Amino acid sequence: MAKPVRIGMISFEHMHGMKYAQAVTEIPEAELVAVWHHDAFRGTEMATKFQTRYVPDYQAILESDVDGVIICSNNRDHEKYTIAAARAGKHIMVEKPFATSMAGARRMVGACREAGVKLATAFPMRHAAPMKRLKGLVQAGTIGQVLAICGTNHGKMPGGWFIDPALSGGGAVIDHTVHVSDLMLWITGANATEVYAEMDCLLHPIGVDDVGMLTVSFDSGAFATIDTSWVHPNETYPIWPDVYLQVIGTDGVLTADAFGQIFATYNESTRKVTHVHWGSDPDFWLVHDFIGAIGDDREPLATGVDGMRASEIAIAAYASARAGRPVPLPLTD
Amino acid sequence: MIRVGIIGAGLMGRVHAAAYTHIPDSVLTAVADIRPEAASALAALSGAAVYTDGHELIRSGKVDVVDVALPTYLHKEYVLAAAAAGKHVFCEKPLALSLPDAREMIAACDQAGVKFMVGHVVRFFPEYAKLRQLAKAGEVGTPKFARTSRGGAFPAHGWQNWFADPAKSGGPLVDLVIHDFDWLRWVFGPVARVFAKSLTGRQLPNMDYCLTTVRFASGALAHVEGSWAAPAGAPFLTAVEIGGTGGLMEYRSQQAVGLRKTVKTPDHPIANAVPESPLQEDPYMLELRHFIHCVATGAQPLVTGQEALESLKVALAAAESARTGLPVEVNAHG
Repeated sequence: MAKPVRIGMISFEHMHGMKYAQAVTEIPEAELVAVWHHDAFRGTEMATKFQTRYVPDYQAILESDVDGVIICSNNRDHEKYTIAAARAGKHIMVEKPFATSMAGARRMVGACREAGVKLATAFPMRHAAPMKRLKGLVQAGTIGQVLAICGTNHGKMPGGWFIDPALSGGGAVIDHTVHVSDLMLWITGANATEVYAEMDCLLHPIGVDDVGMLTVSFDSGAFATIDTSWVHPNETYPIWPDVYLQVIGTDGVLTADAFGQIFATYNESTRKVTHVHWGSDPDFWLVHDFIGAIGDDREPLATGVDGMRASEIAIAAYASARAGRPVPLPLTD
Repeated sequence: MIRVGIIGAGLMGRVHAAAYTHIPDSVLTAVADIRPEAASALAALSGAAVYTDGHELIRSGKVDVVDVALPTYLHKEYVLAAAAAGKHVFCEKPLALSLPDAREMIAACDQAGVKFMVGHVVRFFPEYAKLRQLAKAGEVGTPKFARTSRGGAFPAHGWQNWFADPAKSGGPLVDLVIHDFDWLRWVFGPVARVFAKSLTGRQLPNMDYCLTTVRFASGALAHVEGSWAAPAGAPFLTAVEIGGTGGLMEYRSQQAVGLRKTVKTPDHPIANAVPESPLQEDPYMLELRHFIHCVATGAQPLVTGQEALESLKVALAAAESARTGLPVEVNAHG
């Protein structure tokens, strides 16, 4: 067996970090050699949980012999850690949204290109089995030419740094657009040409957008909407997210529900109804792909450029909401 | 006993004719259609008189109420004639294809002093009525967010395929999701602006699809999906979500099935399961019973011409947005 791929975690600020670290420990070809988090207590807790080492300085991970790092910081800091990791010659997977500005995204992609390291964007929805199947069917021509897509990514209101625009770059729109915009670009192979968005803080007293409705036009002639709203009630909704696509083609309609494979539990002691997702775990296969990209020296399924293109649609949505009109793509900055 | 004449013996005419048989205060006395066999089939339900010209029905002296169940582009001619003859008027939705036409129809009924109601029947669907009632009662706090979805296969049953001609039907923004625009206005109040995309005008045979973002004057946001895009035979589905400061309500017709029928037939050994949501009282009957009650008592109908006009404004603004690619203020044109 080849030498395992050595991975370090940079930050658990995004809760997906725990899922990814767990996946690394479950993949035989990978080894979780160190974790860093800005808060030593939490960092140590994570190290204990995943039976690995806590290092109090992320530079120490970059100076170590890890092959790759997984960055799950707040959105603003993606750029700082990505560029530092690239300069240290480490392969990188960055949590979504890839970036909160086009200039930042370009600096990240540029630094990785220059350093010759692999740059992956954590788009687990590409690894959700219903979405993979949807892409396969669309590309096989099953529904003819794609004319329109209706997409949603709803969720609960995450709080914390997610609702501090200085750290997150916005609210629900920057948080949720990219899962769906990436799927749309990936599935259709088209380029987005225009974005219109309505958004507002309507549901929670948080001062950032918690309802977002985007309309995207593509160079193929197709159009789409993306609903990013944090509309699932935090206490009572039985599952955190939905990621749903309905694709209208000249010869038929496909719908894919990434979290459709669930069963319900009704627990008297917690007074909770829970929808338990039992489908294939997208997070595991996402990390598996990143490990494979390093081990086999190939591109990851979703690259930094993919992350940048998906982010561009979210960034354009904010520009559209400010301007009150559609914004043409590509964004100059 | 209120005597009703139906003009138009297509799908809606048939649904209405059946409904009147369950309304004790009304009797179907006349049916008109340029296809005499279609008119006769409906008339047979109650021994009604048959006409091949709607104007003859209006002049016949056999009706107190005229139920206009014609394709949309023919509404105005018969509503104006019925009002001029002093008949109360029930008109299928959408009211008209333009605001001037709609206003002319409303004015004619006002001047004639007759009752006028438009068939925004979704307000009489119990699930939609209950969702609104709960939203108004604070079930989700202050309602601020909605998604609606409506559609399935293209309505190929239309006479001369009139649904396929946007000049006659307005396309799905004006014909189909106007149901949701009307219901959403009933829940959320006036609409400020809309942004819409549709396939209307792309020359796709018997196919259309539309997506609209609605911004209400209150600030609330809604997303409205309308589909005539599924293959023939696909089920007609609706869905609603209403979110607010204190919760969320979700409805999906697909999950609200009271009875599922799967029957072997010699031709189709693998039968399609047909879902049904049976109700003791059909929403179309509730709608028409309400109108007959208004005619009998002088009460104001739930969906007046003016209400239907406001919903038409939203639909026409959405159609304009889809054409121009720009957001459209709903009251920009008065």
